[in-house]
Amino acid sequence: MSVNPVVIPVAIFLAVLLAIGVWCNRSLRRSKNFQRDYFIANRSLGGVVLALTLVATYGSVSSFVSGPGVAWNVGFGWVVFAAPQIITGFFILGILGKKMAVLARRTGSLTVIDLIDARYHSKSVAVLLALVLIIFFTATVVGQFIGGAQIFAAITGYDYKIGLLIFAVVTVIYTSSGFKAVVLTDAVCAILMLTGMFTLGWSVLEAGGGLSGIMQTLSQTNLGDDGISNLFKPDAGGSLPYTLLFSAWLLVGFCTLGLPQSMVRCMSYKSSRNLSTAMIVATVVCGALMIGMTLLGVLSRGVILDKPANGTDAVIPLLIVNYMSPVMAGITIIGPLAATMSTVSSLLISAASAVARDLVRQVRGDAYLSSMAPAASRHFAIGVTLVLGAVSILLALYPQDIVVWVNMFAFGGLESAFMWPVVLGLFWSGMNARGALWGIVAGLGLYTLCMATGFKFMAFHNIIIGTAAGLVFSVIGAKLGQQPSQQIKEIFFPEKI
Amino acid sequence: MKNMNLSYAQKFKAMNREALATLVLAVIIAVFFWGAIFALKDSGEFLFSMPAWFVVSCIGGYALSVIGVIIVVRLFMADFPLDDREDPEDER
Repeated sequence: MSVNPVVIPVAIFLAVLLAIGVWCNRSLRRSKNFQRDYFIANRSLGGVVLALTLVATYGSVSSFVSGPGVAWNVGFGWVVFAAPQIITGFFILGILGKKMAVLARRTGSLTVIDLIDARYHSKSVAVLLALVLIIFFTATVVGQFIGGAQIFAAITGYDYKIGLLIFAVVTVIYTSSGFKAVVLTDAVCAILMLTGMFTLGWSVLEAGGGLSGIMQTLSQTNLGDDGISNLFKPDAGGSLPYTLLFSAWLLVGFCTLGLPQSMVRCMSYKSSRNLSTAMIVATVVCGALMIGMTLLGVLSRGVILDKPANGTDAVIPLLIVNYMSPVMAGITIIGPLAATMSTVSSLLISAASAVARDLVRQVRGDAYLSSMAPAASRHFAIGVTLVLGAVSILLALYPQDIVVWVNMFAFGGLESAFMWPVVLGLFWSGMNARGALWGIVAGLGLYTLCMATGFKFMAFHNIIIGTAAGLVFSVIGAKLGQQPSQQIKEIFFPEKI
Repeated sequence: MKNMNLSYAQKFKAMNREALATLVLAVIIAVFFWGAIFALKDSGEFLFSMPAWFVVSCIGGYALSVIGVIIVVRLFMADFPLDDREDPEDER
């Protein structure tokens, strides 16, 4: 089998990520507080790394492949759907970023669930959220592996399973070196995602005869009854209802506040100046990437004229294969692979922390965790990460319908479950364990039910139902439950005493 | 960014203000975004060969959020130590 030149840049990329993993693994052996190093890099992140890891974790293989594919099909309307992500970069950092950092230090929290536990002192809330996190993160990791392997196979021509094994094993290995390896590789990935977007954009403009040439082609395509191209309308001539476009401001805008993989990053940076830098950098990068990739999908309609036989997910691979030199294609394919791997690594280390720290603490108690010998604690955490990674790879090799289905609603499900316990817990002193529990069960439960039955309310996205139910039941539960203790108020609401 | 020496409670007042400023910025961006779409979507005008509603709402909205976040950081984000006590975590 001759080596496809496309894979040379990819091989270098994977080698660099592995090297970062090995380097971080060595410094881990000198660690004084292993779990703090392993799960949040000893709160050492600087501003730029914080911004890049946040965006790289958030931006997934679907931002690179499926999103632009849909944009190819419906036009500028899909950029309207993706546009709320212009606020995603700063929103969670500005709202939760500093409070979570201060409170995590004050309470010694290393995970989001640690902090939730410190706020509510409720075993049922902590265990429930840990399970929700493990299930949704694992399903998402599998979905990312499948998406990444498909695009790797489509571009290189190698077998799906070979591609999957190569990049998935590399990801799991460097992730097992801990949070520091995860965020540093994320930073590399974020830069390569931007690079991939620029090379793709350049090729599209080149192949389509420049922006005006492409717009000329688009204006003749998919004409509506009024003689104007549906690609030029915000609602795509009706196929994107405004209610759906409004709900996007919740799903990928305001409610991204509820993503635990973003929250944990709020507990891992060094100083308040880092946070300010990160807000600016993340806004610049996140907006550029999300608007840029989706716009690129719209413009690719001027190059790829007919719908690919394999569906619109094939648009980006076709662009890379047909309109790029092998070396350029090799550099560009790193973009979607980087998007996949940076999401996977972050979810995997968080899922590992939910097992190796949160569940162990809840089931066996704090004393058991701190009584573990340093070497045992290290082997346990690394072992959990490797096992979760191996399970995900197996599930991606042999996809199960249930996992694929759970992956479909994991994003909104995580938001429905985590947003209110954390947001109300940090900003409303009346919030309590009963409110948190009711909110999680009602929000996530109704969201799941709606997704399972296909129920729609006026074509809104179901995230509206999930977060509205979560809010209402959180408030009702909190009103019926006991007020938080004085001790909790002193830590979480010192300004109200 | 202002450099400040604050008590634990004062830090929380500052952080509540910062969160409010962030929320207000996000709402302003959303209102601008939808305002631009509904004001321009039927105009049929083009900017840089793309539909004017798109350029103003999406590209303009992106520029607005970058400028807005710089303003929020400059005017509202306080600079203070995130640690409350000396080595609070080594107890655990």
